[in-house]
Amino acid sequence: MEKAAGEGCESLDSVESNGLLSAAGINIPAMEVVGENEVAQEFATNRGYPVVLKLNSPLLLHKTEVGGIWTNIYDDEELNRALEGMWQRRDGLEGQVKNATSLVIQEQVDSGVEVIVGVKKDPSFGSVLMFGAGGTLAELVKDRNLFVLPMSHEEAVGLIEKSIVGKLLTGYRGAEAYDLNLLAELMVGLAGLAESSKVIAEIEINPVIVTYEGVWAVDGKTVLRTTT
Amino acid sequence: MAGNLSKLFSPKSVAVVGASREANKIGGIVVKNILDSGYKGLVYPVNPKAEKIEELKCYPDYSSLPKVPDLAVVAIPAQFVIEALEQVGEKGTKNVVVFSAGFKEIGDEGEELERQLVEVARKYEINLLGPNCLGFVNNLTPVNVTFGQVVSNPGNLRFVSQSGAIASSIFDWFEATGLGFSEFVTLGNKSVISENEVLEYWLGQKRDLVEEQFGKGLSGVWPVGLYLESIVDGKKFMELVAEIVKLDPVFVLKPGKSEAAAKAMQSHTGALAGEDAVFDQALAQVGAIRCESLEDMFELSRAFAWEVAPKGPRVVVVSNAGGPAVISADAVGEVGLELAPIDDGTLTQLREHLPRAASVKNPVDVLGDALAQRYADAIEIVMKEERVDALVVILTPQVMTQIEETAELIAKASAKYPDKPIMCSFMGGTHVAAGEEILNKARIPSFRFPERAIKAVAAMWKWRETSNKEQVILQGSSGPSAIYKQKNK
Repeated sequence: MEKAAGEGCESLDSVESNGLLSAAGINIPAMEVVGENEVAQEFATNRGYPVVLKLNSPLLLHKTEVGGIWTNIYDDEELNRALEGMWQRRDGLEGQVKNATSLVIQEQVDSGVEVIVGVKKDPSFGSVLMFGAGGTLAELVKDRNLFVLPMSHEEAVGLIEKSIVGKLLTGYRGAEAYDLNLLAELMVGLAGLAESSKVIAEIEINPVIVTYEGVWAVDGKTVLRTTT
Repeated sequence: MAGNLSKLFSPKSVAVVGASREANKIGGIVVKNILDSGYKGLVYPVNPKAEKIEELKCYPDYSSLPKVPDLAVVAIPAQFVIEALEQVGEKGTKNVVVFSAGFKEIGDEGEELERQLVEVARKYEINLLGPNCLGFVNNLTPVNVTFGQVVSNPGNLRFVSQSGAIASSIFDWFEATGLGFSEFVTLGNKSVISENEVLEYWLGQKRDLVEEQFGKGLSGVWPVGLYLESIVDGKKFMELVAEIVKLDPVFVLKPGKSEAAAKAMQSHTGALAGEDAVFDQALAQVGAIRCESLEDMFELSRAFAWEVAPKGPRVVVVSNAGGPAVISADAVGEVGLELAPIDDGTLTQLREHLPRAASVKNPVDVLGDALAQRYADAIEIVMKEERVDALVVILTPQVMTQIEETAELIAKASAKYPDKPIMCSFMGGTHVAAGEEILNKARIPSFRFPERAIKAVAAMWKWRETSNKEQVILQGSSGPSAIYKQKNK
């Protein structure tokens, strides 16, 4: 990471970001870079369906707009169609972006509640954690809850409970409540990762999917403080 | 960064560089202010062009001073300040207030000048307040080291303002309401001393609220009010505030929610604004209260200075008009307080003392024809209730209303129940003014609108809740004094 910052990279791509998160003990659904289609097919055979295909690049921070995700791939036939489609989309990108973009296959996390967890450095107060409703609704719902780090496990739980999306997580309209502890652990883990690094300017996971079985960081984004 | 600031804020001797004989020059105003404030220490005007200023011997330069002053005030044009500071440093003075403008706030040239100024200050280990500041007032010493119009009483408030102009308004308002403070400090460009150093100084202060000096009716705490346009070191700020709120409430006004405000502030002190939402959260986390406006800050000053924070969220409202009573009931719900439940015993007593038509549930409506005695009866009955934590009294001036008498009786109730705050809303202008004056003298806050009174109670409860402390009131021989013990967690 220091190397990347030293080279003037402004951000890490998903694969690199996810590597970081994984190292910090955060659950990432298994993913692999697809050099050739066989890699994808093997992945699906070994891990099982459903899977998603994603375009991966440090320059593509908002995938949905460029059609950079293909979800709900449930069988081989669909996988082949998706592969074809995604290669086409990659080729359709602008030259510089295209060259920096690879294709990635990942296990799909089935339904859960999408939240966003991020850490940003404030010039006055240092690292600040942000939590709220995530996924495609994030910009619309504006469920933005901040906490100036450091943050304890209890404080993380408190932050979840006072958020709008927290209402869904604590059992809404008869639905069972989710275990907030795993999510709180993820938040504290991310906070620790951001605070321990001098080169991370911003790190964000959107979405984190909260399921009854566990908490998954599906898409990580890291912006570095360049040192060049 | 800065050393111990006691000598700065309580100097035994003050030198004024740029002292003037002219009453309208800054160098003249400050000398007069120092003398008029009853300062008992030594004053040394420094000005090569004068032999005497205000009957004091004037010295041609700093090095010729017979002693090393504790504090130097610099009131000369910016381009001469650095040289003057060198002389001050050479002499050995460690505390300096620089009034002069023309530094970072004017742009690049000034920024370079200020950088040099800071270098000199660091070289001599000088605690420097300013530049571009109004100075400070310490009512306990006493000494007024400002060039502003300050009339002030000693009291338990402590104030820091990044703006000198706002300070003038605050002083004026304090005078009108009889609010007193111990220190009022303006920061100017915060080149060396920032809000953090002042907070740290206050943390280290141990003070008794002695009735002889301060009079009766104060809340027993030393509230801290801040007007800031920027934060120098957020983490340190949070640390210091978190410590202070354990004993004393802290409330902050910091504009900057709008882009326009942020731009205006940048040119004012050349300081950068961080994200406002982060500042908001930081304050909430450490238990400080954020003021939404100057009005808020004025009202909270009075509430915290004069009334003890409620031990719980249960409010009782006593009003001589139904409309405002209902408005208050709404407001109570909105700010996280509760309407105190009135038990049957109390209800019975109220029914016995109030006319049949009066509403005895909370809010208690004593009706429009209530004279002072009916108010007093109702107040006495509800204040005795164990489950009442705070009282709000609303008065509208009807023809028969005994405004001043009612105010007197409220003052008596306040003295009788010192651990329950009373806020008043005497609604009106001219007719209620005399009543408000009595309340001010008795140190009971009065608000133009009942919702404001309720908001103040809410802020006080919030502080109490967050700081989680126990207040123990002891009856001393010279009147009640309050000591605070922190609850064992």
